[in-house]
Amino acid sequence: MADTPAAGTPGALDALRWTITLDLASLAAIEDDVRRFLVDAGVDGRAAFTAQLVVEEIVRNLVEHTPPYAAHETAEVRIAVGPATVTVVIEDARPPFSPFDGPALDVTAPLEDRRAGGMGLHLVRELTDELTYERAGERNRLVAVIGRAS
Amino acid sequence: MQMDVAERGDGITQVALVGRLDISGLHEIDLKFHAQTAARKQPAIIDLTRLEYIASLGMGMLISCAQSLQRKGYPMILMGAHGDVDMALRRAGLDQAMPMAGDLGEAERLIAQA
Repeated sequence: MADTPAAGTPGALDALRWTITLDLASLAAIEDDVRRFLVDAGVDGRAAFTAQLVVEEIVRNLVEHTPPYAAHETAEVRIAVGPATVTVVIEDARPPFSPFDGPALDVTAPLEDRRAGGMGLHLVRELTDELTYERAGERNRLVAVIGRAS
Repeated sequence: MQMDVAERGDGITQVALVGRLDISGLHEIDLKFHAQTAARKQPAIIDLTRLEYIASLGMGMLISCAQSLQRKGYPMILMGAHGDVDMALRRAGLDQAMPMAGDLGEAERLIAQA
């Protein structure tokens, strides 16, 4: 659920925050909001595409690694739009998980050897201009910076 | 998310994916897409001309169906991807795993050569 006003409306901000429970339905429910916010904030092209992809891939990965007994827990998604960049910040209180963990995706593998696993984090690493992860106290904090001119 | 199936009558499946292949979009078409591609015994052309967004979940659907067809001996061609969709598919290496064609004529030629 969004808890700050959308850009393009009276009192609009160039940043928006959503707090969502860790299930796919909650993620699916904010995808249109994220897209509309970016459109209203004047973000288009690759920056808009990548910002949406980062939210989908990171939160979905988080959901998939969350056991049912913890599905009531939440993640916070924030997007801030600046003149030259879009910044996506995703925080959660699940166990430590870095987007830099795991084997690199073999993008040259033949079709029969392809698996969907690992492709999302690969795309996040590939398409963002800056990607940082830190464990701050009991929380994971991922920050993705996407250039608007790229 | 919309899925348009062209009735060609020549033994080739042609399916257009229209809109956003995000989580909601995938849930809307996943079963229908598998039924029209992986479940059939013929080559398939997937028209991505009007696809606006795709992430790894959607790419996984394409890979899964292409693998099913490959096991039966039939190719699946991705056709008409452009802009950010084309960029994302290539960054994920899908162009290394399955044929990508710029237009319908090229897709049909790739099937004829397969």
